[in-house]
Amino acid sequence: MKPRRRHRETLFPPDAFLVTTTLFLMAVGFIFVYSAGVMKAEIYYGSTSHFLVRQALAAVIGIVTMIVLSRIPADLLERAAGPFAILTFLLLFLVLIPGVGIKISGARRWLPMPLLGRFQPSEFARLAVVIVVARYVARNGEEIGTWTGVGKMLLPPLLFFLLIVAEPDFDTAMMIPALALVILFVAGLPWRILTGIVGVLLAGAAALVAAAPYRLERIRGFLDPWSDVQGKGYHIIQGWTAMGSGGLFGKGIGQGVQKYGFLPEPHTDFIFAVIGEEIGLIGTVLVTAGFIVLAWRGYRAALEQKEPFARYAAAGVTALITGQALLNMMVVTGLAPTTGVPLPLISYGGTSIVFTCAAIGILLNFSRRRVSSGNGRFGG
Amino acid sequence: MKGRILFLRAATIAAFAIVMARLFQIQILDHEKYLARSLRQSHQATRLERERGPILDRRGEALAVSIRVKSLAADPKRFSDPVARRRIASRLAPLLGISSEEIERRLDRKGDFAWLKRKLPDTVAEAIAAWKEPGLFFETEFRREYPLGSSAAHILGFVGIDDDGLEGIEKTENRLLKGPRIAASFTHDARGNPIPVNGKIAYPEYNGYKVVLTVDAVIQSIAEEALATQVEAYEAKSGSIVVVDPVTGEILALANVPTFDPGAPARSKASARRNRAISDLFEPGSSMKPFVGAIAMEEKLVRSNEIFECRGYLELYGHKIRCYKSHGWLDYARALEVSCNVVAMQVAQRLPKEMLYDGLRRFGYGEKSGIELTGEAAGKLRPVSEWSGLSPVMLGIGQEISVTDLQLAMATSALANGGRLMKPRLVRKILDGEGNVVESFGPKVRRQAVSASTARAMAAALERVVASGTGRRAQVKGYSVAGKTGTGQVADPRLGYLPGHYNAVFIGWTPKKNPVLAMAIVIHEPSVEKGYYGGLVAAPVFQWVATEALSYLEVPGEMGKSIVEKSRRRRARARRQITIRNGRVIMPDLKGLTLRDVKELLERAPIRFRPQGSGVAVGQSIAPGEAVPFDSTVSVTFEPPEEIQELVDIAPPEKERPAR
Repeated sequence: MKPRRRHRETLFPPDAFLVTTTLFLMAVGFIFVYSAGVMKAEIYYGSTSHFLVRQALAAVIGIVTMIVLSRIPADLLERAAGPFAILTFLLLFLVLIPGVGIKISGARRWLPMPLLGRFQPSEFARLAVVIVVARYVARNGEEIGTWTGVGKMLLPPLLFFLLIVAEPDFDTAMMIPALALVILFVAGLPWRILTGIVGVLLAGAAALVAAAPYRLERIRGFLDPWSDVQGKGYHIIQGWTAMGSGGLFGKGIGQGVQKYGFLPEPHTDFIFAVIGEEIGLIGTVLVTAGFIVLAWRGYRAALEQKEPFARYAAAGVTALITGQALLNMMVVTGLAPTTGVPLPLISYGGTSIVFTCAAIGILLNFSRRRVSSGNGRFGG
Repeated sequence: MKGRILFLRAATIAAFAIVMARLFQIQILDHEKYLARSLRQSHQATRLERERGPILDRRGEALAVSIRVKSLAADPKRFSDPVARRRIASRLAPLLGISSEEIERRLDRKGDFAWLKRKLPDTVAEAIAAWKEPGLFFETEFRREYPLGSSAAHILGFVGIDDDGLEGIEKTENRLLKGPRIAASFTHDARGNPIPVNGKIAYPEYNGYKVVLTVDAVIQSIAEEALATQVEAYEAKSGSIVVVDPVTGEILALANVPTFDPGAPARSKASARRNRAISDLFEPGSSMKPFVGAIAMEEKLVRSNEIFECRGYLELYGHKIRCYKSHGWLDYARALEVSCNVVAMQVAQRLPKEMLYDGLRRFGYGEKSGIELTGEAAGKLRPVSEWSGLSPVMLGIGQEISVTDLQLAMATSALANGGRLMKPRLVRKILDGEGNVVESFGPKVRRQAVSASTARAMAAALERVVASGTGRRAQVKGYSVAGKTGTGQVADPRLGYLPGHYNAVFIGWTPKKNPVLAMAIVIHEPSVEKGYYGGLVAAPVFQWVATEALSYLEVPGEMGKSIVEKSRRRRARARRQITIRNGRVIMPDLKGLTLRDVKELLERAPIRFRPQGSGVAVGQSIAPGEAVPFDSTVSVTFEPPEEIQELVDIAPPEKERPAR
């Protein structure tokens, strides 16, 4: 690695743990996108490998993005925060316009995209919000102690949140302020303000549940799925049935049956259940371990950053990937109420793959610019 | 604020650890519970109709197959209103070919299911489906089709509307054709549809087993054509042929005239559907002689070259039983060649009754052969206790016994096969849906009917029957044939023998030594004006079938001279041989010589001779090779040359015998 002229810091090779773990998870994704989606692909698209081919195409774009982002100058990302904010706003606004945004089952979440089919602006928004908030907090760190300051910091995320809720896509939307909060937390948000915000969020959540009865049903289904096996508890029980019937070693790749109409979204949101059914506890633990490695190495990269922006962005990006993975797994295992989020790097979904890869690319970029220290190897 | 990041990291990893603990609980602790649940909801016992397995010939050609068809049913509740019922009935009537009133009657019932018309043509089903009339629906069923039409109809049999075999192999192998009754289950998706295997959506196939027959479709069609042609040419009532591989007992062809279309059995008469070859009994006439002869040979009571005299009748218990002509002096083999009844009766007389009865039983007469078909008759061979004094001689010429064509074919095969009586077999193997062999069947020896040497001796005599006797029309160019003709009388249970009603029979096999085909052919009641002898009516069927089948099977032709030529050389050789040894004359073989030849030969020898008849020598009172004193007298029997001789082998038409 040639040292760059404008930076004096030493450049390390990108974190090999992050790279191999990312590739491992993507490979698992290919296998199970194919296996889980085989029937739907055959029935609706006439080819059993329909999803796999698209996933592979998105992965190629994602890996190119990852390599590019891992090699750009660090300040370029920081300087892109402003344009990102504007672009995100425009895209999120654009998608709401009838005739422009593509409406599927009542939600207008996608923009048409030549060659690749569809693009989901909310995926972009999640990455953008990390950059935007990290930059703002890095520049105005002293304001974090005041309610007004925090309010200003949370203004863009809340705007994005509302636009996404309008699609509507509440499950994705709520991750935006959550990510902003993670960055504020890392930046030293005082506990009293944090508690206050959490209190407001809980009240807001209660209001939302009261406003939309289906959310209450979801929570009821989560708390006692067996009370309504064919109704509210159906999805969660089918997920458990998939994983539980897989046992330690699973039924064998491709041998699962739960993906055939029993699991709600076998190749996207419930792909983790298919993994559990077909390769058993061995498989689910390996995948979970993969995300633990991403968390460990991602937060380690954050710890090693000198610059506040880099530290906040690294932590935010790590939280983005691992937090989403955690939420997905908790939903599938019944530890959290049903929320429609894909498992990063594994679930089918082109936009998700590309932006998760982009996030990893950013992490890799930071991992090359760490403060050399004695205990750096183990992440401090 | 490194502490905050460390906290975040610890919290994330702790959360993942909780997920892992949860996974352990679901996947290990509760594994049994969820496995049971998964099986319960995604497996179910099949309710799909199984496709009846095909019937194939020995080379895999399909003889019977099942085609998926649609059957129209209705939900009568939908048509409970008489007006609606009349409307749909009048609309359906022209398409279904059923009267409107009949459809209304079928719809006017309780419950939620009524067949309207089963196994519709595709075009009709599509037309009705296009109406999208609620209350009408289709069920998938299978229609049995027979790609070769009426070929092998009596072997295959047919099925009823519910796909159950009612006759033939369809009936006897019904259970296997329908498939094993295993508790089959399949994995299905949440809607109950079968799930894809290897990426393909494959519906579970619970096909029946495939039944592979021993029958060869080509030989079958040859046999059918030959038989039908001859039955028609001689204006006969009916006919049967059974072609067997004599070594294995495998039935290569079995055909009857008249026949029927197994695809539409209802359109044929019951008499056409009857498998005459296994169920119709007839008196075999002279074709029984080789078997009685072989039993006598086995007991050393007769030799092929033993000399007999036929004076044209035999007197027994005050009855005079006629031969169809006076054959004079002739040896036993010659007696078979010309089908002399007097000699046959003399031979039969020598056998103790029990021995004759047991011998015939050993050839399979009077018992069912055990072929895989229903309706087989055992034939009629009365026990010795019911015999009259005449019974043995009557049996010797194939009367007082009735047989099936199949019994004749198997007994003939026994002579061809070194005396071993085989079990006739129609089923070669059973394959499952994937073509794996479920069961296969090999040759099964029923018993040794006679010794191999006896069978060989009889084969030699029967070869002459075809070479120069009554069976000449069964000759096959390039191959040796052993055979015997027969012309049985048709008996009525009340009226006794009916004048002018005969059965023409031919039994035989080829090649003589390493037999490939054995056959029994019977043509019932050919027109008396056209001819009715077995050698005239039935033997040509053998010639036709054997000639085409040997060529089709690519059986190598036999090298060397044919037996016809061999007999000519024998004549020439005999002409020169007058041997005198120790003051005695060795009797030459005079057979085949003309009256003039014999005169010339014996004039030079110290032997007198007395000719009987004229033409070609067919018998002599002193056996060839016997040493006799000088000036002994030999009686020589002459007959008209073969070319003008009738192919006569009939039982005496005017014989006097006690009524049964």
